Amino acid sequence: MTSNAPPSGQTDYVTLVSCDGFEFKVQRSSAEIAEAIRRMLDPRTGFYEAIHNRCEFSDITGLVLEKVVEYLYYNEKNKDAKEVPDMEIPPEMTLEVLMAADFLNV
Amino acid sequence: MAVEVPGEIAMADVPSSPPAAVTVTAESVPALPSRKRTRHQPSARFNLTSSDDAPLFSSDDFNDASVDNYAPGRSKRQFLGPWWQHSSQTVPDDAPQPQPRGFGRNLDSGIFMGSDDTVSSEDSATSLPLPLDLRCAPRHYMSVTLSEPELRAVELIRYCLERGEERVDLSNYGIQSLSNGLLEPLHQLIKHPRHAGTDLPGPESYEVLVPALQLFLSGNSLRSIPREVWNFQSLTVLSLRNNELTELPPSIGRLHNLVELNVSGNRLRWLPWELLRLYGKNGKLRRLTTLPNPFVQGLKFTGTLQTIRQWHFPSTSDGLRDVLQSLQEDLASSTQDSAEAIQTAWLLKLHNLISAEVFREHISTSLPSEIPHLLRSIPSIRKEQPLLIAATPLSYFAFDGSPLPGFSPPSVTPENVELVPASLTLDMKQPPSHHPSSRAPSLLELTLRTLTTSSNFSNSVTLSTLRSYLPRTTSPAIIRTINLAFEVQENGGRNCSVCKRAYAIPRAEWIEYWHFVPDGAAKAASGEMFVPHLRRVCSFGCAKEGRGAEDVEVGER
Repeated sequence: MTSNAPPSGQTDYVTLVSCDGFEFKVQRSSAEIAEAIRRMLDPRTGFYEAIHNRCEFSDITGLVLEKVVEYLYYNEKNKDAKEVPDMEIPPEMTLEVLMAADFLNV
Repeated sequence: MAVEVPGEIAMADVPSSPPAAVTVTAESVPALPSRKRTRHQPSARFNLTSSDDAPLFSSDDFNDASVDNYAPGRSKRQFLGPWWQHSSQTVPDDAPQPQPRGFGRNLDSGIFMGSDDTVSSEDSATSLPLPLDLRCAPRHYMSVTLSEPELRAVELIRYCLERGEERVDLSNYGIQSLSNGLLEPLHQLIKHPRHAGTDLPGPESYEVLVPALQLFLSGNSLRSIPREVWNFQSLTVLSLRNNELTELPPSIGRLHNLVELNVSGNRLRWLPWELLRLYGKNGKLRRLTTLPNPFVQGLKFTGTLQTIRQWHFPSTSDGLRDVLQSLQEDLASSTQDSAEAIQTAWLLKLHNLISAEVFREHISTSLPSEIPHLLRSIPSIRKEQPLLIAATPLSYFAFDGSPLPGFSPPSVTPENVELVPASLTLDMKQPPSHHPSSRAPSLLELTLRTLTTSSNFSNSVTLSTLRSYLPRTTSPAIIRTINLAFEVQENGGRNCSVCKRAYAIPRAEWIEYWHFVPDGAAKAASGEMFVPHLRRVCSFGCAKEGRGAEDVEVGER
């Protein structure tokens, strides 16, 4: 598959790209927990992201996006759990993660 | 012989002091005539009550003990410079002339302060620079300027602390806001024992000295209650009457020794659900005064409840049976969904619950044939257990605390709306399908928890510093949620009513109408028949759990 040819249909994994070029390959079901990513990847919209299964975030750094991805899997993992442990967020990152969470509606 | 005579003299003069050994030496050893003089010269300055013996031998513990010291008018030879410059006449004239060293003592040795006549040391011991009031004041309110009513409140609190007074009456002080630091000293209150005489304590004197604190804050203009109040575990009476409170924080559920609570005359629309913990068998609350308050109502009262605004409860089982029967007839005859029908249905449910409570009690303890005769009084049932009558449908919130489309949560009910309809069947409205009903907190919630908990540990994480870190383009939603999280923190935090975890942003809420009259009076005003309690949960998953069973157990922490 070359980069010019758009992939046909949806893949199981999508790529999230940070502003400094880090790429995260994330399971689609987990990524779609974030409201904003779900809308970006909705095939009915015909967005670039939906066609290429690739979301680029120009405001989120790699460090923060890693935390976001960690959260997406944490949420997926604890979907049916009764006792959900808190996910650790380093205090120095909280404000950036807060902005990212607001941006991604998660 | 020579020793005995001066000893007698000394005994006669100053009985407490030891025999003046010096005098003995001076008289018995005439070879040292200087000895007498050295002794007598200082004795004018420091009296014989000093417990230190005067030096007797040259080997006594003195720095420069030498026979030279005992000769009057002679000083020790002093040398300056290295030894090779020394000759008898080489001391230069401009060199500082050494003062002849007398045989004196430093009077202010620090050990026997006040035993001599010196006054300077006594001065420094008694007059400390700070006035007493300032030294006693806790550091919390030393730095802030207090208003006149607050200063009077500080005065009263200090008075109560000193007297061991359990009743802290701050009513009608005109206080507009109370700081945490102002009330904090009350934690140290110790009840004084009732019997403080010199007789032996009788058996009645052995009592618990943990204070049963009574705090009266009525008649002020308080808009919020300082967090510190919810930390007074020993609080038994709390009066918040006639203030301007719009909401009671859930932390009030922590006051599990509370016996009497008065919240009348405020602007409360509902009570926190956590207050239920203090009712009934789980708590100690025996008096609860809620009216008047602009509570939301689950139904529109009609008939006698509208005009007389009172409802009389039957006091016997026969009376209860009659009321049940007449209510059933009324329900059958009234048109469906009319105001009368709704009211009758609510009353019917209330009386059904009461009778179920009565009979459950008796089926377990006695034979079925005895039930009609052994029924306990109905008021005591109503006193012991709060009864859940109705609840509003659930309202869900998005991750940032804004209501999801299609829901109108009760907490945003406008002030002029009194009716928030509830249903007896406790049905629920499902959240939109694409919101999974999991218990995992949102990422925003997680970061807010981190923020507020780190503000507990570090003084540098405050609302204002956080605001300064945020860029100007920050969306107002973020600022609103941060403000909310810190406000919740300031009020003592809140815990999910289902999973008991601390949270900042509720994801669902509803109002439950409970019937509870703590004193079990035979009649109840219509306003206190069904009191609204706002219940909040931290996640969609918890919302599902909380509505599962109809008889919701009142959670204990």
